[in-house]
Amino acid sequence: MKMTAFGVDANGRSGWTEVEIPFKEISPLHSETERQDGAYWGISINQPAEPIGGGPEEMHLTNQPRIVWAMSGHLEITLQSGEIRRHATGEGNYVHGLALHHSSFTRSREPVITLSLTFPGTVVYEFKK
Amino acid sequence: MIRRTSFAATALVALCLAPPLGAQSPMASQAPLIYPPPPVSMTSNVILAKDVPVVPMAEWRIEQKGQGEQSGARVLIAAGAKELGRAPPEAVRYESQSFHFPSGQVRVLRFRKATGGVLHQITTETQLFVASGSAVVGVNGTPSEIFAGDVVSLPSGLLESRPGKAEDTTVVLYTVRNPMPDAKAALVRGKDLKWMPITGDKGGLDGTKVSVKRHAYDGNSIRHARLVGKGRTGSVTPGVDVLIYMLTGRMRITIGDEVKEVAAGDVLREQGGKPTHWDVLETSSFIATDAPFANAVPPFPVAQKPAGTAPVETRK
Repeated sequence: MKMTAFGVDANGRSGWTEVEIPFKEISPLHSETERQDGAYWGISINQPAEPIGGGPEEMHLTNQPRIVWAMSGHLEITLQSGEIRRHATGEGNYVHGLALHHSSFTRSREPVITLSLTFPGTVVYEFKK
Repeated sequence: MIRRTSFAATALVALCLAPPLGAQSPMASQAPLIYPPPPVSMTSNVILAKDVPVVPMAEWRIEQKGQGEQSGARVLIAAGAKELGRAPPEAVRYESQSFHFPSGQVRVLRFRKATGGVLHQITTETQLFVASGSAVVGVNGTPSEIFAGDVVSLPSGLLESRPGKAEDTTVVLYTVRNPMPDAKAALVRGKDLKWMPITGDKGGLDGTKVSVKRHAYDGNSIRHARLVGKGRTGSVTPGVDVLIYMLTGRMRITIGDEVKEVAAGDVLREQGGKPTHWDVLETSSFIATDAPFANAVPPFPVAQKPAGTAPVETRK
């Protein structure tokens, strides 16, 4: 399964890409991955506003690979490529640990709740196949 | 800051709004925007520096240990007088002005040795011109020293003082579209370029002499122009928007029907498709770059449905 993802290009700048998450079909209606290493789960609530200091031009990195799912509301993410994408409720995104990004909740009409799964390491996580 | 708690704890704890130690106040998430949003339309192609707020900024390095939304070494940013209160004493403080156009943005950052020198996390900025001073910035991910007159396309990492050589430094940062796929980052040194005289109908007229250093790289260029003599330039009609930052001097610009006097620090747009010329009031210089605009062309024919609504294949 492909999932939208942060990447870092040859110039050292962040941009949108995809990662392949290796699912195996268990039944026609169900697929699973191999066992994966997880570090921890996280959940957050964010009011519909700019989330952190620095203004809308702020960017930051996580130094940790993770997947973040929007559980309610939607968030708007800007990468160094200049491309802005919105993630609506139910959508997930793979976070590259060194990809600078700006997350904004100003466009959401309700508080944004996200669920995240952080993987070991500091940059990317290699999914076990 | 996105606040995270351990999922191993109860849902009640997980939903708690109390920030972890070292995080900012919950009220920070309610803070109003510091910058005005980019204008949807403009009544003028000229934005005078005196009409743009000078925003006090601070940036500083931290190393956050343990788990959390963000960890490890990174840079924090404070923008505006209210946020500066959370900046530690060692933070680099500087001034920022942002000039928004429909086709791009120009930011001018003024750093002082006395307030910590240079430190700025490169974000969406696509082109950098060093107006004065010096710094180090990533080029293809490699920290590279840059000096007054140098240009970097697609910079990365941190813009910071040269080790042990902090000085007053002003940089002009453009955020414009680069139409070339897979454009490579580049450093073009001003000292390696020659001033090329521009002559003929598009050059200086009535006693004005125009010369240009062209910093060229994948997908775009920054033209550093110098105009001497109280005359005018020939009329030029750019094919795309051109964003210009006045470095020195004073001139009168004619863009279509609009006539405005501009001086050092002002920013303007030569609007694509409109005839433009300069009247030189005193020896002046500026930098200019193309700002090609995607013009909101949808990725699918307007009369058809977006790709996302195409029939979904069903499993047999």
